[in-house]
Amino acid sequence: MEKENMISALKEIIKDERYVLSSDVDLLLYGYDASLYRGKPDVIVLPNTTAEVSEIMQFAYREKIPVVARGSGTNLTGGSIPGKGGIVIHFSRMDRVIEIDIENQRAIVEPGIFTLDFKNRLAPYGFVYQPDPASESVSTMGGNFAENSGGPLCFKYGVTTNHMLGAEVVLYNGEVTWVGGKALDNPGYDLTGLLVGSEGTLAIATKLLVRIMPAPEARKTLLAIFDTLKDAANTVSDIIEDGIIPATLEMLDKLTIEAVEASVHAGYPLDAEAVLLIELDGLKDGMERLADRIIKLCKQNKVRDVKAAKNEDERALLWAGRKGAFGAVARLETSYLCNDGTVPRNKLPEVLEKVVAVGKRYNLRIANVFHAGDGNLHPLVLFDDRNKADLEKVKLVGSEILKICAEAGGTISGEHGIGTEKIKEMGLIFSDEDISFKRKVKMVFDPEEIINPGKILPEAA
Amino acid sequence: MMFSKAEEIVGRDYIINDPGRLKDFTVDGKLPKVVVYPANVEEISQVIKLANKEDWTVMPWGAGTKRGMGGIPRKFDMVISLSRLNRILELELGNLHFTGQAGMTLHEAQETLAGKGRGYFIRLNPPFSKSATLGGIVAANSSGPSRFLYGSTRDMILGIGFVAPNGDIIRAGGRTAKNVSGYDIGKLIIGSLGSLGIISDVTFKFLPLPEKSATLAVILSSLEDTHDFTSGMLNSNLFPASIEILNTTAMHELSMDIPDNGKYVVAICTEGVKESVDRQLKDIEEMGKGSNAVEVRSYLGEDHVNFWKSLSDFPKIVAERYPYGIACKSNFLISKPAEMVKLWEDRAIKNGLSCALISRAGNGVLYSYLLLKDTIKEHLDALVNHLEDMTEEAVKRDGNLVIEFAPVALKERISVWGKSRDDFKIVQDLKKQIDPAGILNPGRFVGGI
Repeated sequence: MEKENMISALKEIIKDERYVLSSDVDLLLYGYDASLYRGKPDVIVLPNTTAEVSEIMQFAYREKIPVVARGSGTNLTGGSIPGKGGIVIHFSRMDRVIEIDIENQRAIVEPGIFTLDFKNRLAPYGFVYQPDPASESVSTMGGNFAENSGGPLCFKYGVTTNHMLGAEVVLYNGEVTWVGGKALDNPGYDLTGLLVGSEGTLAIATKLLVRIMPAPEARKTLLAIFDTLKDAANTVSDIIEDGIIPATLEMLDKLTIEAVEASVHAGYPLDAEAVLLIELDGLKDGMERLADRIIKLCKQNKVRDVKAAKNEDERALLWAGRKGAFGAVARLETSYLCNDGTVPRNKLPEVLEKVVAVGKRYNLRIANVFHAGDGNLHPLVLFDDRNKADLEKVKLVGSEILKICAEAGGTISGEHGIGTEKIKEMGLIFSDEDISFKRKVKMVFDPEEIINPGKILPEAA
Repeated sequence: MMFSKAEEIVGRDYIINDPGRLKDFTVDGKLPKVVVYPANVEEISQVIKLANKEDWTVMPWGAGTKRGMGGIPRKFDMVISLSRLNRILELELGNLHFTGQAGMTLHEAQETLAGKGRGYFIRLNPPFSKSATLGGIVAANSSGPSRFLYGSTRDMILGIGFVAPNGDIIRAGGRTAKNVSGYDIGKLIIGSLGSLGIISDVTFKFLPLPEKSATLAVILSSLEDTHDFTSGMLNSNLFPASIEILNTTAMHELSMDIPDNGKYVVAICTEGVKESVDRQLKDIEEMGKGSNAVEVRSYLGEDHVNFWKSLSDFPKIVAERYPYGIACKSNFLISKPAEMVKLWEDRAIKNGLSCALISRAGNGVLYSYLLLKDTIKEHLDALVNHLEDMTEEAVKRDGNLVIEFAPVALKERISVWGKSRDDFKIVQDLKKQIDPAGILNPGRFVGGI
């Protein structure tokens, strides 16, 4: 369809010209996300209601125009780039909290709300929504739904899918339907479970129904400082085998520590090879004893020092180092690739060694900051994106690390998704039959392949 | 012909068609034509491919404990028994994951895990605790009282291997705690009652056994008090493992000895770190007294273990004692369990029915057992009336009603999956796309697909 006609048709639907964007600058801005990939939409539209989203989808379906739903564009694998042009639906106007139902421990929000904003709205009730992606101050609930986002608290509380109970979704043809609901165990297939993590390729969520729970009574935050990466990794395995379930078990390596200290001054020692950020939560009773047990395990692994946050300010500072780590590392080089391979926890020490070796072999610096308790690595491979050869090299490094993870019995994405970046690596963990099964699911939800096309699945042979 | 062709795949010793033995595989009064016992996933795949070609329908079978679930089979040709797939494939203490084949019992998996290192367990305590198989539990999305703390199967499964209706051997998920690599196909398979694939193995997360676990039984004389007590607990920062409301009839079936003015009991299991268990026991007892509890009892050690075992196995007790017994599960908003118990009791009395009620209060689920011993015929109209009524009441509270087992005479007259939902068309389309010939368990899943 002619671009001009597309724009005027969308203006008909939205009725407010300010919310249909198509200037060159807009097309550039909505063409990228936090990955190394770029696309270019034909037009960007900012709907205000589900009905408008439905009309947009009816129009796109009629005219066979690709559609990509977008939150804040923090996606790290090119999941939110419009690789095949078409319409970007930007959800920033649909950012309302529809309902906070304390009595039933549920909330309904629109997809465009920032995750942290939603949590701040819950806080006065003494309730929490557990998932906590590091990007939560800017990432949206809709994006978290699409990516099945994780975060440091997943070790104890699970990922986004464990807290999503339903959604209002717009289907490929503009039909609006609810999946899941406030009650658990609705008869039928678990479509909510299927849609969470489907990277916006099956349907477009316009309302999300989540589980909320009373905030924990107490927290205990520890920072353990190590002289070798291996000691830190072994400590993680020991804590898990000992049967302690901290809410958080995060690791940062030397390069990350340096970057963090240069930017947020969290008080991590510059000469350490690795630090572990450990947090217990729950009832206060017994917490000190568990903390002592953790400290003992750290000592068995030659920890240099363990600091405990004495108050909320100290806790916030220790956390600032972790939450600000990606941003801090970004200051070290013009660009980085964030890899997201995940391995069985007991394979962490050997996989980390291999990752470090890959970086050395390609002569690229790698900063490691990751969810150790979940075996979810985040090697940040630093490179100069003005240098074409480096860009090629970094993609090879990423692919090699994924291969190492797959060979260790792990997977190629823990929480960032497949998007555009890892399509060719799907074959590392899935057979042709597995992929063809997934393609059947895609066909049910998107027979014309207009919803975020060209993502996740390799093209059919 | 079916016999000889299937025999070529599994071998003479692993196929039966003798009517005497087929009787063990009766579903809603119907018998299969043959039962095959494949040795491995490859043989399952070959059998399924053959079934697809010959247009035979296939019903996967673990221990048969869920045979009452779902609609009456539309066509019933072949049973694929998973009993020979009963091995442990992986057990990794350092990663807390366990992969067992579908035909293995959860009981055996738990025994194995309890004996390793410091002692571990899969966080599920579903009914039929001795016989239920891993595959059956996942296919039926079966869970037990401890789901309040630990979640249900969807929260603890890392990976599933299954055979698709075209015979493809499929792996969904893996063995890592986090995994966003392509669609979460495992979620589709959980609770699909064998309608999309035959599960061959399941990978569970597991946890170290808790330092301490204990039970409080808070006996109350009214539903108002019961509601106050449970909702107070739900909105506190205490986190017990289980919160179950039982009515007098359920207590009677469990041979609980209760004081005259005790009408309901709220049974609470708390487990985890010793100090936190002790603190919860103390706080909960106080909350119970604050809600006018008639009596608060505590169970420790073996009493505690046995209490939860018999509570989990309640459906089995009903099936054994009441040949015409009916088991229903309603789901609804979590603030409504006491209200639902009241509706059930009042209407059951009106309809001349006796019901044992057990509500998983923290999850908004109510299991209702209609205790019919000698006949169903004369109660049929009342039953249909009652169940339709109860379905409406659950729907009003954002839920539904599913019949987990019932005599065929009742199944013929009522939708066992409750009221059709908004998303049914997608459910239907998925089934059509994945199992176009409709060979897997036809007629039994939602909407008779």
